[in-house]
Amino acid sequence: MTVRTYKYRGQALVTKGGSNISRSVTDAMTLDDEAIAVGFKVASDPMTFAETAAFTIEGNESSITDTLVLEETAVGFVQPSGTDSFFDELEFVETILALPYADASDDMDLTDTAEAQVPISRSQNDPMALQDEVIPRFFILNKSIEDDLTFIDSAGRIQEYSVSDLLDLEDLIPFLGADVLSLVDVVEWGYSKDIEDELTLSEDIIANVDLNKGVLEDLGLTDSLGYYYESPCFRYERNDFHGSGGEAPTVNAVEYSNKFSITSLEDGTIIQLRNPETDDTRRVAFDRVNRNLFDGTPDIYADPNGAVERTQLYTIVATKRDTLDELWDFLQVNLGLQVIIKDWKGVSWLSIITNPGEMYVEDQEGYWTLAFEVVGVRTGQEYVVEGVDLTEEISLAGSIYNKPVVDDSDPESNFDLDDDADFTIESP
Amino acid sequence: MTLVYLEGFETYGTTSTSGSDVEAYLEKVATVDNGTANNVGLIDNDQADGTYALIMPTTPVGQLFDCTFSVPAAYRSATNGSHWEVALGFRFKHSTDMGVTSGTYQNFFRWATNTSASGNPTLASNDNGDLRYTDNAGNTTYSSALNTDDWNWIEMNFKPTSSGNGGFIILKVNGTELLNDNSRNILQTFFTSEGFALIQGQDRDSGSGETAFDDIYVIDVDGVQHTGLLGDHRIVPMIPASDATPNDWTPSTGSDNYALIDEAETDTGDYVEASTSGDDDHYGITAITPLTVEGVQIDVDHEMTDGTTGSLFVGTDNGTADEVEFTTTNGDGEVVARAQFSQDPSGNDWTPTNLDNIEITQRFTE
Repeated sequence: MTVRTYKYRGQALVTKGGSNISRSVTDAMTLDDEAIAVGFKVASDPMTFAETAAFTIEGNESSITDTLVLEETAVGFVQPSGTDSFFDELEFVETILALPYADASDDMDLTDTAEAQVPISRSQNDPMALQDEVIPRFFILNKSIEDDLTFIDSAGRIQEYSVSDLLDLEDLIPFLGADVLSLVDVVEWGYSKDIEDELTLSEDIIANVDLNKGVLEDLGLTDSLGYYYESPCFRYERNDFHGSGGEAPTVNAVEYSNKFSITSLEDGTIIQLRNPETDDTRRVAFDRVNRNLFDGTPDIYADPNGAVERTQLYTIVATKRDTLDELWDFLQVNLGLQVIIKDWKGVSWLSIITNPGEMYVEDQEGYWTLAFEVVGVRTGQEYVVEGVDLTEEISLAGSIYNKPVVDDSDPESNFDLDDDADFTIESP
Repeated sequence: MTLVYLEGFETYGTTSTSGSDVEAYLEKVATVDNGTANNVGLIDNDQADGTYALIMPTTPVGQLFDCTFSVPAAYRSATNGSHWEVALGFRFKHSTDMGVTSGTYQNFFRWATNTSASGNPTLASNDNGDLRYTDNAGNTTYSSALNTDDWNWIEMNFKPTSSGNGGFIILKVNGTELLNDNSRNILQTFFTSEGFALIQGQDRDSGSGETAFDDIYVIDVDGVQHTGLLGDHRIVPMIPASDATPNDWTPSTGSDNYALIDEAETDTGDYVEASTSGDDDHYGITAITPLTVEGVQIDVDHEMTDGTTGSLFVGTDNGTADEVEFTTTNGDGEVVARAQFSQDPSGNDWTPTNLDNIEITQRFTE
């Protein structure tokens, strides 16, 4: 079964203006007129232009469209140091004449721009004269006239200057809290207008927080002071009186409760030895004032405070080696220096080590005998090495009888205590 | 609006085509009953657009020539009261040398019936451009209503029946309304077959001038009475310009199907052929850029060469197909399937845009 098609054509019913049928008149005219001046030339660019669009109106045609586009550009390159002038005059007249029974609509859009990019010393003139008229002819009573004139004339100057607007803002939130900071800083600048832009910003954030942190500060404070028993007479003393005549001093019991100690006044080092052994000796060399009476009878002067002895030779027996070494180092370091020796009877001597000992003998294995020699005077106070009983009266300067000449009415104590605890709380 | 009839004389051929070719072509159009149409020809319609118009030849004195186009049966009246309302238009050019002197008129249009011309709406003109309208109610003349030696577009909206059955007439010439009578005896009785005739030659005395016709349309305004005239219009050709998809038919030569069937004058030497049921060809058309589009008519000049009967579907397609089915029978020879489309395939009114978007199609089934 076969079908052949020899011709296939169609027809379309269209209203006026169909395919290949032109019933309108289009009159588009573009005019480009340029006058370019370079250097010191003066450019004059007068342009006269007239456009007419004629239509043959048929049948029900009743409108005329006349679009006129005109663009005129005059470009001049002006030398900065020159005195060239630059004028751009544009005159434009558009007229639409409509036949009777037709509407006349005359829309004229005119834009006249004179733009100059020039140094500051240049002036810029942009006069624009615009006249828009709607003239009705063959006036019919039922027709209305509308004439809208919109006119915009702007003369502006564009100059580029640098505008520096530095805004430095720092917003800190040290810990917790919410901080919203909104800052707008606008700098506007216009020619011949000073610009100041001061922005003051102050924002406080107060947050009450529980740190749950403890601040611990160990205040290590050590204050050392030497103090003396006000009266050494708390100690019983040995009766050192020898001889006859006079009134015998009271016999007092001797206490041997104190440990033998030597305290360095240079660095505060303290050497303490055990309580005395029976073989511990102290040979005391002292000066005794002997006086002869007029008849030649010697008179022994007895000082109830005891002789002011000068030389003491201490012999310590049964000393263990570590104690021996410690004492030996001390004697070596403080040789010739002032030390305070507190003997077994609790008597304090302000002494100078004169001989640290020439030979130390190991009497039996692990036990040594040593001897050293000092010279010194007995202090009027008892140097307290160990802890002080709170019932005992102490003073900084010692006995009121032996205090240095100072004003004790207002004892000075340059003891300042400042305790600062700096701590840093880290953000969570 | 439903397109009933469309004729722009764009499918007959070139200016060399004689009236016999026009007549022969019209005889191939199943929906057209052609009259004598002797010696009509085609001319450029003088609008500088390359399309064609029908020219009535110089007629001997006393001779009559007419080219009759029948209205499809569906639109023919059944009773006076139910007669359909007609809107039609055409372009008409009248010579000043028709030998029709002032005071006399020569008919150029008649709404015809199967009986005598008496009482039918008729238009007549003379060498002065005067126009005369005649119906059963009588004559009405309009001085200088026509342009002479130039084209006029004439439109009529009427109901050809008695005033008692709603008979009325609206007549416009070149956009100017000359007659608007809502109570008019156009025809007193109904007729079973109707059409219209483009005529010349009746009552001619002398002269060598010619008349011409173009851009004929007949539409049904779908019940909206006293309206529907389209105004000044054109009928433009829709020519296949490219092969689209599908492209099933077999070309007799070459590979471009559209190039073998796009001619103005029928050439049976080249063709496209469908031999398999379902063969479908789509073609793109040259762009048309009118102001508005009212309707589309497609003519497919074809012949069944083998087999018994089949169906040829003529249509348009924009992604949706809209087809009209024609029965083809072997032995009928060359026939023209003429399909009219009042809307685009999507059912929307035609616009220039959707017209350019369609493909024209032909599909064959057994």
